[in-house]
Amino acid sequence: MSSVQVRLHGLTAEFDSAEQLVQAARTVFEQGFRQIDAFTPYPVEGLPEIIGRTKSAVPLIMLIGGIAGAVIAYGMQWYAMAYYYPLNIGGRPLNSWPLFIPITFELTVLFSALAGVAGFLFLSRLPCVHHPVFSVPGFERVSTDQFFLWIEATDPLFDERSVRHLFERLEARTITEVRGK
Amino acid sequence: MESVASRLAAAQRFGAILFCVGFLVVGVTLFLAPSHAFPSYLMGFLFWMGLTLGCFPVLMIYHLVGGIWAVPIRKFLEAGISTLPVMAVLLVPLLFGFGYLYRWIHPVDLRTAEVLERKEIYLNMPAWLIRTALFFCVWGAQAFLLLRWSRRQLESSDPRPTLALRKISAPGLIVFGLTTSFAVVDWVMSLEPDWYSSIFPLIIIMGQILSALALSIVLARTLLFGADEATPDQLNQLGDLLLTFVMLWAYMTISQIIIIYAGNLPNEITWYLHRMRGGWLSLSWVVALFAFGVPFFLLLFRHLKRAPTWLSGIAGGLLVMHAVCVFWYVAPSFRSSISFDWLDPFAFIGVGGAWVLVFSRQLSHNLRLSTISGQSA
Repeated sequence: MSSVQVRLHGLTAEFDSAEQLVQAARTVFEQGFRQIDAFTPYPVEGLPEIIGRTKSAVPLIMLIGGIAGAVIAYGMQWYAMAYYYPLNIGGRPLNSWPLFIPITFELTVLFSALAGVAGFLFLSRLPCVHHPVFSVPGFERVSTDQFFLWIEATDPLFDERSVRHLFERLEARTITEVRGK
Repeated sequence: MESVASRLAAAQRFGAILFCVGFLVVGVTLFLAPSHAFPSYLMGFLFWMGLTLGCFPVLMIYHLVGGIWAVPIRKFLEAGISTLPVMAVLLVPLLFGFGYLYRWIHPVDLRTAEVLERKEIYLNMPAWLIRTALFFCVWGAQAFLLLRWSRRQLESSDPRPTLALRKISAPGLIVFGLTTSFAVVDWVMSLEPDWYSSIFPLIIIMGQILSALALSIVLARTLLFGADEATPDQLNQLGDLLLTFVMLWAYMTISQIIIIYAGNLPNEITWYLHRMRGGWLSLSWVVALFAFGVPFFLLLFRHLKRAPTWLSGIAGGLLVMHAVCVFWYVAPSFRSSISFDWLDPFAFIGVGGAWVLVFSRQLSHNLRLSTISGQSA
């Protein structure tokens, strides 16, 4: 029989309202914790900023995707129409840029949208089939009416007892240790 | 509040002076050099008329969809639509200059004459007058209804005025779109009577909306402070709306170019040929770059839209660019090479002075009303 090594992933605190959660998140962030996350049934205004998610890289990824789309689209048309297989169409210049704009525009939008979706998934570490917090009893209610705050054990300030005290002070309804492989 | 009132009083005096100076110069030259003065006057009229007309759709969109974005700019839009009567008066001088403005009165060459013979049933002076009078009646009725119900909405908490405004605005937008399109065909497109483009009126309407929106954003920055001041969220939404209309304007403009470029038909390309000859092409590039390129790029950035100074700067730039656009739409039809007539600025400030005078008068009147009702509530 081999013993399963169980390690502590972190602690969750459950709250009944968004206001309580926002208050708790603010306190936790002010105490210096950074490896934290909040789970809510609906988007809570201002919460991402409170837990330190102020800047997202998605806009930059979309911009790069858009520029790539524009360059590829225009380059493709220029290569085909003006360089590789030049055709005289109605006496127009080979590089008839006004007619290349629709495709360039469409591919700009397409590439930037795809880059946005891919970048969002990558940055959110999705798809994620399992996450340790799923083992918290009653965690499924996060998609209906409960609010959870999560401090990861990897946080340099993490100390099980002091975090538990902090959550108690914040009047969490339940506090759960998340253990697993 | 005092300082707003005194600034508006100063704006009224300033407008009155500009109006007097502009009209003195333009009024004399309308008799002495009509072939110079009338095109300049038409450009001045079209820009300021565009500001008046641009306020209508923005206001009606607000009444239909609601939102917090329009709260800081609503009074400017309402003061804007109440300049309609003075614009009707300022249209009158144009009626004496038909021969100098619209070639469909006297066709200059044989080909044009042949085309115009078939268009005569629509493009003739009585029909133009009747249509323009009709458009002003429709817009006047819309302005009257919008302003009356808006005042009632501010005076009471009764939900009925809000519903009435919604009911006016839904068909109002359709009627406004149609009447303004036909007005643009008569006033602007018929300057080159052998040319037509079905998307052109919409391009002009987008320019008008952009000018009105840009002006109200600039005024929200310069005239409002304290509790009335626009919040970063409101600025962000106004910036998004500005970006939307910049893109719509550019989308329609480029559509027209692509369709005409692809079609390559003699009767369609003349409009662009006139804007490529004699140095006009360089102004065309300026329009593409500064009415679309630069503002589009800047408005992509969220923190610029939330910064009052940046947003009002971009809006101010767009306002200037749409004055340049009016010049670009009209002047190449009269001048074969790029040139700036010394009468252009006088006509611009003459019509503009009257507009500013009426606008700031109405605005200070509305502000006084809202303070009184605010105090009693």
